[in-house]
Amino acid sequence: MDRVRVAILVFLLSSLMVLSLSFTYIPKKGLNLSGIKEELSSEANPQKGMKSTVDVENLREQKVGKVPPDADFTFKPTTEKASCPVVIRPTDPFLVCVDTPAKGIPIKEGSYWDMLVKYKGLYYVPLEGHRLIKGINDHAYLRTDKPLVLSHPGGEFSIWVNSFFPGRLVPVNSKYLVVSNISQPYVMYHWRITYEIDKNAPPGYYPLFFLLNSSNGTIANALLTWVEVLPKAIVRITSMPPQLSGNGTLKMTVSGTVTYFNGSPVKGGTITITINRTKSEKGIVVGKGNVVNGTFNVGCSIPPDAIGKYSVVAHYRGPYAYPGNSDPEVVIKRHPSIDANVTVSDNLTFVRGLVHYGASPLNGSVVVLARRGKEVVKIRQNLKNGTFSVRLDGKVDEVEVIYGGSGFYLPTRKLVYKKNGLLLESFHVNLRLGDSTVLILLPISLLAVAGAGFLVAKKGNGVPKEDASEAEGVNHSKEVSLARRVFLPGEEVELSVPPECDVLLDGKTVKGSLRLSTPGKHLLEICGRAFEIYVLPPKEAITKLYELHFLPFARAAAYVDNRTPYEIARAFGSTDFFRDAMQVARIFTLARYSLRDIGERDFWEMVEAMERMGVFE
Amino acid sequence: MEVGELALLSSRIVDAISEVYIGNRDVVEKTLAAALVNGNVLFEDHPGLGKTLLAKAFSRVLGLDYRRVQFTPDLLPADIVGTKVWRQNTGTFELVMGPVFTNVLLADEINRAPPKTQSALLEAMEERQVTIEGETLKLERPFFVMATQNPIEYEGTYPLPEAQLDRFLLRLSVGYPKTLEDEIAILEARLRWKKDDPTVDLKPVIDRKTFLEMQRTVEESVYVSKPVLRYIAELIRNARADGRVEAGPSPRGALALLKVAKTSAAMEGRDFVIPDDVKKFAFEALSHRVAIKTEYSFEGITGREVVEKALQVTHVPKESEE
Repeated sequence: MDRVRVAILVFLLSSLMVLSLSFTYIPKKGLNLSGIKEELSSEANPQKGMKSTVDVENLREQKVGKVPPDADFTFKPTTEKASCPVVIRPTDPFLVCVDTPAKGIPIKEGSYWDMLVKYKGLYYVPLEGHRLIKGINDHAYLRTDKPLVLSHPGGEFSIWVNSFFPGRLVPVNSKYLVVSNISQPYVMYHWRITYEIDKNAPPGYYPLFFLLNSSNGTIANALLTWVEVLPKAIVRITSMPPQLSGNGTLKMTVSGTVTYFNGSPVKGGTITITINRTKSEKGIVVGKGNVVNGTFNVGCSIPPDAIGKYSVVAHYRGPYAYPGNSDPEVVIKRHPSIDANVTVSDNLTFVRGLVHYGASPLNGSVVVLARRGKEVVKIRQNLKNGTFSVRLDGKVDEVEVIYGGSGFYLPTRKLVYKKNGLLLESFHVNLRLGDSTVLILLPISLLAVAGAGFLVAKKGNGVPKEDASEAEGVNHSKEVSLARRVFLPGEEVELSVPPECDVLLDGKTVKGSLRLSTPGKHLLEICGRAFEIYVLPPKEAITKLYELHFLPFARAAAYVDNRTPYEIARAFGSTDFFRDAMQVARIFTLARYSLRDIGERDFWEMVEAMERMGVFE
Repeated sequence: MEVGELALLSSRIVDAISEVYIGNRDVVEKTLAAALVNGNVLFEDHPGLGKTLLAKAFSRVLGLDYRRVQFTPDLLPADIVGTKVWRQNTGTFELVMGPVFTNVLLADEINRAPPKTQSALLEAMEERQVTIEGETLKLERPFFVMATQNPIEYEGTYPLPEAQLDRFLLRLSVGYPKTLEDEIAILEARLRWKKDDPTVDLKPVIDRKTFLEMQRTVEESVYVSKPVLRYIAELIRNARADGRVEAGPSPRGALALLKVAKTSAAMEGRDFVIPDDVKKFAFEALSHRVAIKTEYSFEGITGREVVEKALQVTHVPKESEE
């Protein structure tokens, strides 16, 4: 560890000089970081020479090449007087001294950590998720939220830096990376640094240095993380069907191209096809395929529950270019099902039925055809929550139900009864009709888009919106819910509710936008339903947000009882929510148990983390 | 000193001790937490598990003066605190200070001495002073006792009186190495050290002044909110209310938990206590303060089970204050 401490001093004195980065040359061979220890004892063959540009394609060849790369620079342990650059292996940090600049350490396929080292300098690689980072600063209490940032020339990105020390954080500019904004420290010494990348920046890896000088001058830390700058990819879908119809899983092939701006093809990478109802939502993955010399053909499977108009998005990911996507639209239509129960007696015939797709009862109209000898009785009826009910005088020989189609549902017909009392179909009521929880036919749900501070009334809940004319006469279920109930003083909320809904705040009618200025508890009435909402300063708002929204969410996953906030967060350990849950716990504990100043940004940070977890849905 | 700096130094101390005390970083961290609030620690476990090694390593790495007393059945109180000896040449009584006049007193196999001798430490442990033939002498700060004891079933042992047990901030069980790798690491370390006692090569990571500054930081810079105080109080009361308990944790137990929770926060680089800090130390701070009713002790119920139950039923404050 002595050499580690020595290196700190060397670093702190020289890092600014070192940081005048010059871009080096294209690697012909590289060293896999995972093999550093083994390389220590071997004599490698350093190659000299520098080049001012980087050939991305050649670089990628190194990364994806099948031949295991070897060292093109030598390592030896640092000594007390060492001023040469060092490299730290991320997964097992130790210092080494690089005699000659690294020509390239290829990124190991599938590895999150291994990275290219191309610049002469003192390197510190953060160990994310490990509080005690051993490196040039012994235990450096500095972390970034990302080990490697992906961006493109002319792009902008932000990175969070956390410290356990108060002090002054100095991000260092370089030729192609300019710090455009640095937030004031707040909450556990937490900075957000925004960089702009020069539009002429050559593709490659750019190190980011941060220096932290503690307020009492006793501790100084430095940290390096990386941004990978890749040229942007243009993804085009050139061929796909505009419409799909049928039931069950539907198949389609999506073809397209991936090129750079100059039109040259992107060699490789993967394409993931998703179908998205809106651009902002994550979408459903329906297919994956490879890019070969700038083209792709991906076979996709549309899940049975997808209905309506979707954007088909081709997402490019790969080592050759910055991710891009393309999104033409596809319409998916489905054949609905008809379930009916026919009761025939001497005097009367009852036909009752349901038209639905999956668990969704449908709008529209049906025609019930009943044959009585040569006579045909034809009754047209609008569906009520997907149901129809017909009474006929006397016996019938045959009953057929014809659904005329509606919106994204195709017309369909079904013979439901034949003579001699033969019941062709029993009435399968899979839907709990009349139960508001399953009345998903045009419910009105009120959704507060928490981060944006909007209240939005949204029609449709998994069921495609149908033509208003066809929906006439349908008994709308008014199921109103309010996603977020805790607001900051002064927060302006735009109301977007159906015209038939009245909105009242503490008994006073509200039109347009609503400014929540008075702290305290308020009564918000929307469409006749009342909600208690809270307007609180950030510290109290965070604890209320946790109590009203996060705890019920965690309780639903059985993660609460007498667990502490961090225990609850750790219970999400095996899920995608872990990181956000820890973020929520961190901010909540600060607000609830500490004397720290808590600001609006902490509140919004918590809201965003909870949004990502789906707490407000 | 900033709390963050304390966390950094604590980590270095734990690292240094873990070089010789292999495979149980948790115990090292908890021992340091106790030391940072002048808390006496009782290491209890079977022989040969490194209890003495740990205590010695601690003393050296903290840069403090330490003395070791091997407790034996014939040890007398004066052998610990000291006595006054008649000097014929001067015609006066001269005070001969015992090994208790130190910063860290390693009381090895404390339960091999009879209760009377064990009790000689009571005043020193609680009030940081000793009285020798009517004269009260203050002990230098910091002062804390690290005692080791073998389980009472062992031959030639005397159980520690409850009053004395209560004066140990934490009772730690060292335990056997957890994995085969840990066992091998111990053997490999012995080959590397080329000696039986690796602590002789340990260098202090900090000095006494820094250690006192760390103690002051814990005392002055770590905030404990009302909900957390209430959580500690409810936890103690729930432990006391357990039907299997003859005598529950004393208010001293609650104070012990409060103190180590503060240290825990500081060692994590936090200047405020969260319920996790309380939970982390609940077993070590409370279970030895719980006396179990005889009928339940025959069933194998221990203080640990009582504390565990109390943790299960005590509400962790997560709701906002109305």
